Amino acid sequence: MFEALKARRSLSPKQRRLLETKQLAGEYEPGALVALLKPIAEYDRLSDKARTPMGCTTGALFVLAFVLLIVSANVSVYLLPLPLAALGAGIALLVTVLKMKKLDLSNNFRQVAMPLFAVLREDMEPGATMNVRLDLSPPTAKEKKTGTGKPYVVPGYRKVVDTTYVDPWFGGGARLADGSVLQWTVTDDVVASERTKRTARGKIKTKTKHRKLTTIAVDVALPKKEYAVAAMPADEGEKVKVKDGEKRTSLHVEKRVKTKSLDPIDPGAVFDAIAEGYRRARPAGAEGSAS
Amino acid sequence: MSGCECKGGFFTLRDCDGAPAGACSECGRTACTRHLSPASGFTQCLDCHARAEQQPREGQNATGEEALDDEWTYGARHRFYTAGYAPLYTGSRHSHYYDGYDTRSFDDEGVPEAETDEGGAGFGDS
Repeated sequence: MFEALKARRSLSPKQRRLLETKQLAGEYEPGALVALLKPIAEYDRLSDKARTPMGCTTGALFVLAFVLLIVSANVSVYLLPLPLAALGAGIALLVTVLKMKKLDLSNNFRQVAMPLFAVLREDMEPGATMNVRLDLSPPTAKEKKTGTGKPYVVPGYRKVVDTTYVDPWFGGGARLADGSVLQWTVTDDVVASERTKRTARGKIKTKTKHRKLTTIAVDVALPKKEYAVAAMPADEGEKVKVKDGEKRTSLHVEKRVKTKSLDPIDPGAVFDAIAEGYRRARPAGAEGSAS
Repeated sequence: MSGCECKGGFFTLRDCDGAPAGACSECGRTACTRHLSPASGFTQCLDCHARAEQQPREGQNATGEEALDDEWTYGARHRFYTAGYAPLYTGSRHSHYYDGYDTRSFDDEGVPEAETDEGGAGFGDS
């Protein structure tokens, strides 16, 4: 807990603003962007790690305060400061946990966006900038809700209500060192399925299950002076479109990844989508060229 | 060789213009300060260190997330290439060091034919 609080205190005003707004947009040099975001990622990691034990401790303190209150009422009023201290500590911890939860960032940030920035840093000229748009608010935030379906029944559940969300959380563009222009977007389509059932003891219980479809769209515009593009079939789960321009051949790659939770996708899926464009690249004039 | 013999890039490989700062104890290539691995005490190049490091390293935090420094990037690059991606080499100073990745090259001049058949895939093969 103290590590997380220390990490938050060490953030610059710009980093704190980013943590609070959960939005990032602008032109950044990839190395500088990684340096800017790394402390935020570290705080978020420590915060994620600390919140569960902090929540348990808060609960334990409230129980302790209640027990001590009963003891002090029966034994001596001079013991009253003890339950009050436990209650105060519990309230303070609860406020801290709630604040940390409010500042929690989507794990997409640490597990998908940051690795991509580190990789692009390697493929860009030193000092070159890239355009980035990041929305790190939770994928099931109110403003991302697109609709709620009518309740229906499935075996084992008396009522199921599906709510859909669209989260276009990541996008950007960069000119790479080889002269190619790369653009990408990552969009999560989430279905939160609220399932209500009656247990064997007759209690009504509701749980929420998530399904997520992540669409990675990548455009790689390869300079014709350097590259020709060979015709190749797309991999399973991917769509590839080739558009021939005057100076560049543009490849549009779309990859879809389905998951049964809100956990981030493997960043390798984004790397694969970009690589799918480069797999078709050949040196200009080489045999097998499609353009 | 007058400059750093390591190659930069992830999706494409390119020559490094850095001034040599030392030689890798594994492959013997000269490397600039950026391409020498701090984790190896600057005795290995980032490529050799990435090839040697198969286990999670010290810089990795408890949740398995990485430090996202150059060492991470070169490790990720090695894993990406060994998983089947054949990078395009856009430079002009060939190095057989990257042949194991089936590197596709723009300029095969200067590479002896027999050696090309053995390792480097070149464009005809990929």
